[in-house]
Amino acid sequence: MTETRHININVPVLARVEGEGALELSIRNHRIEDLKLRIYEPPRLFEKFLEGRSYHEVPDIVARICGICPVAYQMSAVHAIEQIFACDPGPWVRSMRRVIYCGEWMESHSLHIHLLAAPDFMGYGSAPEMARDYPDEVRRGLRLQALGNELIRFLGGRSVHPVGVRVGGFHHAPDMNEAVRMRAKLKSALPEAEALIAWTAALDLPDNPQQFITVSLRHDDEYPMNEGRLISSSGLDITIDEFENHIVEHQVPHSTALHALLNGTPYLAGPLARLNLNMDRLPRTVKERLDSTGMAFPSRNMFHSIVARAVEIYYAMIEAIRILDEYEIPESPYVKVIPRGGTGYGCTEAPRGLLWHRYELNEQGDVQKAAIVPPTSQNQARIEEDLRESLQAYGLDRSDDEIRLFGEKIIRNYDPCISCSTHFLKVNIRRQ
Amino acid sequence: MLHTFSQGEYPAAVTAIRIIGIGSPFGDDQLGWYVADALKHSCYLDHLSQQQLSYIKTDRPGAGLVELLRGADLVILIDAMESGDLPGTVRRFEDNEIENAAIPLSSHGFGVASALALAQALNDITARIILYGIEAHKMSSASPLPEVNKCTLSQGDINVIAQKIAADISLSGV
Repeated sequence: MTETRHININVPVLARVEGEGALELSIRNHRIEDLKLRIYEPPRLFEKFLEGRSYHEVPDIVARICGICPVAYQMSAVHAIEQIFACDPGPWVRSMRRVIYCGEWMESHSLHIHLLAAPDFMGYGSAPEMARDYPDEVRRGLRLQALGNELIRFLGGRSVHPVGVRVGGFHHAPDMNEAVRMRAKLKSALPEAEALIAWTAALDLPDNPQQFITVSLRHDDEYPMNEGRLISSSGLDITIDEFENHIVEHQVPHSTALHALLNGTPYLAGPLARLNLNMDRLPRTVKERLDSTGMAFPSRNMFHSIVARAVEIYYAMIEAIRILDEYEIPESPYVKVIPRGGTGYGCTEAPRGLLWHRYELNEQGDVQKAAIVPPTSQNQARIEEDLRESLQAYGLDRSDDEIRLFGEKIIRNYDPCISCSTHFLKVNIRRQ
Repeated sequence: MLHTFSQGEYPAAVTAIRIIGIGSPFGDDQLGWYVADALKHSCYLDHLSQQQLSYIKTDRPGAGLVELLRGADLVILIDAMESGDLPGTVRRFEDNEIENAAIPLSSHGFGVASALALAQALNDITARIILYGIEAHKMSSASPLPEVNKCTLSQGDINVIAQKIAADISLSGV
């Protein structure tokens, strides 16, 4: 006997013209027979949009790819193009790129923790529902998110699709008063970030250890953001130029988002992967704060990602303060570049994980080809793997609603940059 | 790829009356911005001074919308809508109608309805809020590439929509 149930969670009226996610689950004799995370995205086509464009247009174009992590796209792009031009923008630009990235980690992680993930762990259907009972925690999230946005505006001019980044540096250097004000705001908000780590660690997170490969950047002496080698928990240690020799994207029939595999195996990118692989790169103050939670890291529990995000918010604030403590007005906020042809690579740590770019430019600096591998694409196969293991362990005899909710919780935990991270998951369960 | 989104992201959100165009730089999702621009450059609301009324254009503000509402007496939100009506159709929502009508589809699932619900849950916002939804052409993956970033309504259509909204705002006692 076949029982098919369709649960439509929502019917949209006001449109931001986004995609949607669906989970298709086929269960036979209490075992998962088939599981597909179906992803529909709006037409992106950015790699094609970039062809024929001049190098100087690239930072503004790629910033449009995501409203939450535009800085990541800009950073990966400018590093790749500067590699082609053999351009070293110098220490001021390098530091300020870390500062603007800190802002993005703060705003993105704060949004995810408080408004998307926390309701799952606190037993609420949505952030507004949770806000009625926990208004102070939600306000804290909004404040930290707003502060992250302000840090992006500080260098980027605006927080959504910032316009301050250029190949060679920034269009504008903030004046000293702005830097002093920004630093003071960050310092005064540190207690909130410290409290956030303790709060996330105290959440009733599912105990769900799994075996998975983690991949992140690794820098000689810093917690990774813009630079480093690519390493994994399985022994990978390569330059970013070698990315395509080991990580291959492929299309699956059920998703418009490409799946990426590391030497044929699913892997995790993102805050938990970064933290697991770079614990020894955290400043002492951050490490002590993490140790005070009593939690064991590196962690094999994917649900500890929310704690990793809180730790990275705190780190981002400490790092931005450290840099702004020594802020000086530069002679120029950018170096002039001389276009030339070639192939360049950029790989930086977006809030959700590795964001890899490759550009081929002609002698005038016009884009001939572009390849962009976002973190969500890299995590797709891992999400499906996690769903398969976790739902089986959770119990497939449970109601459709229970399975749907747990499935959504697992997917949201990855903070995927697609609509399925919202409450729009449609679940089609076929029981046999 | 560039669009008319102003440099100032949240300019002067201190007036009692605020007209907020919400959108993204993709196709008809820019309708909220274009209609806000059309209102600003028209004479429909000239009886209100700059100290009383401000215009804001914002790109998928998510929870940031809560801050844009703070301290206002009246907020007019203008956003693209996809409900199956004819493109250009204007629908007006107020109070609970917004919660029921505005389904969040924005980046990372935090859209207008979520932001308004959050503001209400936090008891932070006292403004009267009116939402105008403007029916958009559905953007499909089959759209020809040059059409992806174009708004399908003409400037004349947008001006007519702005006129309708201005008349309705005036009837609301503003």
